Amino acid sequence: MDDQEIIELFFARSEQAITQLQGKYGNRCMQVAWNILNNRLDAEECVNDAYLAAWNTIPPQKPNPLLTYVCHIVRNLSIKRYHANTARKRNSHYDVALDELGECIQTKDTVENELAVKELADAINNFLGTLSRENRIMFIRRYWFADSVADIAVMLGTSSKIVSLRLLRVRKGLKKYLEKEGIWV
Amino acid sequence: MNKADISQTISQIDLNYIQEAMEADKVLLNGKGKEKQMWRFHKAHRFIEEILEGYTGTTDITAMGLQDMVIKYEDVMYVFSVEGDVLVMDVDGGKVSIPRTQIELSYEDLETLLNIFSNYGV
Repeated sequence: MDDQEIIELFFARSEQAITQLQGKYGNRCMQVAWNILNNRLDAEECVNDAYLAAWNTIPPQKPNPLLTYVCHIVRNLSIKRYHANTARKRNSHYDVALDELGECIQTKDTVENELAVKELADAINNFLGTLSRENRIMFIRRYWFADSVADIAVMLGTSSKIVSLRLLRVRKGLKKYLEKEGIWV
Repeated sequence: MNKADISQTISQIDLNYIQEAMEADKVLLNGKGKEKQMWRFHKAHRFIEEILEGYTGTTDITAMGLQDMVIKYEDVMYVFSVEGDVLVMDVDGGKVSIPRTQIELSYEDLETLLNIFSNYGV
């Protein structure tokens, strides 16, 4: 079933929409949640909550592409759960990715955090536009999807060492870009 | 900037870029042949390694991506398939049925599986 047909099921308020969505994209959603949470039960809950959120927002939303939309919800819910869990336990896998980014992402403002985050996100989006397609994919697979370096290497048909090196260069480039834009202090 | 802020910032990356990165694994997930098989081996390998690190005795074998996988190792054929609510491991014609989730696997079983995948260089 193609995405358009699934969205039509959502619009018709047919519960088949969830079944079809789960059948088509369930594994991909689980992968995103698993990478962040590293816990099957938590991941399943987040994915199920994401289906519910999709049910509640489609309509009026008519997302295209559907997979990106659902994965975005899964990621947001997983991150929320991750930070709620952090007090109890740590997920080294996702922590490592965040630590890497923390080395090159800082803002001068901690009081008006929301504005700072928005400004920084805009700058990162602009920076991503300057990267080669492959470097951009590496960056997003690592820091948005929280994929391991080894997985990214397999995905792109290269070695882990090369992926690590290229990610390091991209992070250095990002830091430099943020300094130039006056965001990094 | 704390980790929650970093997560929030990264969440705001342009969806077009996310879509672009999404396509990168679609090729492998929807692809056929050796490349796809190697990808699945790699995922299973890593998954088993993670389980062994914090071994508790139970795991979800479906998350390893083993279903529908056929592996020949030291002249023994391992066939994994899903039939209803169980995952079937067919070892040279002798079938072992196991629940899809929260199955009990011994440390040795997992090590054997890990050796199988290592043998494939993944």
